[in-house]
Amino acid sequence: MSVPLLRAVFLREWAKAARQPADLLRHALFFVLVSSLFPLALKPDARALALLAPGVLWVGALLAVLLASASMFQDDLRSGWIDQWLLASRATGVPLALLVAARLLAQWLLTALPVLLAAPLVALQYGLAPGALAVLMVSLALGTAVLVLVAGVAAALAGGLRQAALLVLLIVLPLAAPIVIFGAQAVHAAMRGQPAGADLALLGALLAVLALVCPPLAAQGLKAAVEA
Amino acid sequence: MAAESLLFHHAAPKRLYALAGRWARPCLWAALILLLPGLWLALVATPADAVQGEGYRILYVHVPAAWMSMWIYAVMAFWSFVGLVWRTRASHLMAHALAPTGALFAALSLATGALWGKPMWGTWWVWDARLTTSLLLLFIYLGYLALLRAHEGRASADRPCAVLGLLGALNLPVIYFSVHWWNTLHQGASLAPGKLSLPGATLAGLLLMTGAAWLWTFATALLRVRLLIAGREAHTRWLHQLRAADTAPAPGLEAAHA
Repeated sequence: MSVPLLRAVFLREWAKAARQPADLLRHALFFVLVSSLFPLALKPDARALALLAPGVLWVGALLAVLLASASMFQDDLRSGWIDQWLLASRATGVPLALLVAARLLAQWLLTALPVLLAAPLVALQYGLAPGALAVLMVSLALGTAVLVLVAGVAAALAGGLRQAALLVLLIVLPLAAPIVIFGAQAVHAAMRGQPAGADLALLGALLAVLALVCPPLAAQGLKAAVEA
Repeated sequence: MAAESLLFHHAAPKRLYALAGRWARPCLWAALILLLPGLWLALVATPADAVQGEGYRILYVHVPAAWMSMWIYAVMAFWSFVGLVWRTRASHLMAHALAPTGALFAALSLATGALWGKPMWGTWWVWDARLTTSLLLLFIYLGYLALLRAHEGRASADRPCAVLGLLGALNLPVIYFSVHWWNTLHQGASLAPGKLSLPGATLAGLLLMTGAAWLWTFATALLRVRLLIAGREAHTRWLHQLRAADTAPAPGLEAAHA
């Protein structure tokens, strides 16, 4: 009973994205543009770029994914799609948190994958070695997943309010600090030729904890937003 | 069981309003009573530090403020949890009432830390683990207050703010253990069970100042929760009767309670 429902929630986002494929590229483009601004603002010699690369790539990717996810539930709340979620979860007994989890998974695939695909291009600009690039990709994959989870909760909390997107940014950015620290540290370590396993493991641990905590919290927020 | 029934007895806004009215002023006086000897110990009785001179005395504000900023968040998270699980309106209001005081203490700990850091470390700010996480705690408070304000005092703020409070509480352990994770400039905790590295008078002053900060927090939170209840329940009859009784001469009070 629960699988068709979750698949429907998941596939709707894919269908929406397939109708507007250019929207997916926009976030990746934003990421490339922001990362390309930094060498222009500084002297682009190889040493400075190598020092900057992990931080700039990480913050650029973080902002791109966050901007894409900030008003995740806004249209769905207005159109009544979330009310349908509540009704469906009540009728079938599938917890609302599972529907939210399916939605967040779709959100991660649709917003983080384009950014991940653009990352090698930007890494080329910064002269990242292949080993460091591999670590960057893994850390971005884990870190953006954590970010989408936290942004999902914030988007549910701010749902239906004025200036919701800005509010989501204000809420998520301080909470995202550990993600940036661990992610950038992993890339720094890989660039120095040291093992990056510890930081990647911490990112994985964050993902494991938040994957359990965030969907129920977001479901609470959506319920409150529907009732308000 | 007794504690639980006491908690839920005061979960009704009307009873909490009365309770807050009774306790706010005594808490304020008690805070003053602890503050005066605390200040005397801090500024007069304790000797100047051998290394840091007179400058170290800002410790008596800095440390309580830093403790309070973390403790208040923990208390907020507790009330948020209670409010989410038992759907008690008063718990949400307590969390809302505590948030501005917590943000104030977080800002105070950062400001006093900067004032202390300039003569001792030679810089206002370093990207040390503890400083950074204190700054993040302030940002989390501000995000909470922004979400609270966006609801403009309506009851729809309750559950979203509680969820955010719990999410932010996940950050508290990171703050506490940050010193151990990234070992940098900031000194480790001086007060730990079984290991005291402070002389008696300094410790007594610190504890008095901390007690004063706690009582002041109680007082401001209770006063603020009264205002929040008055705003939220403005349409109710009990509040109108109470207000009328407050402005009318004394016998009116008896009539309102009857």
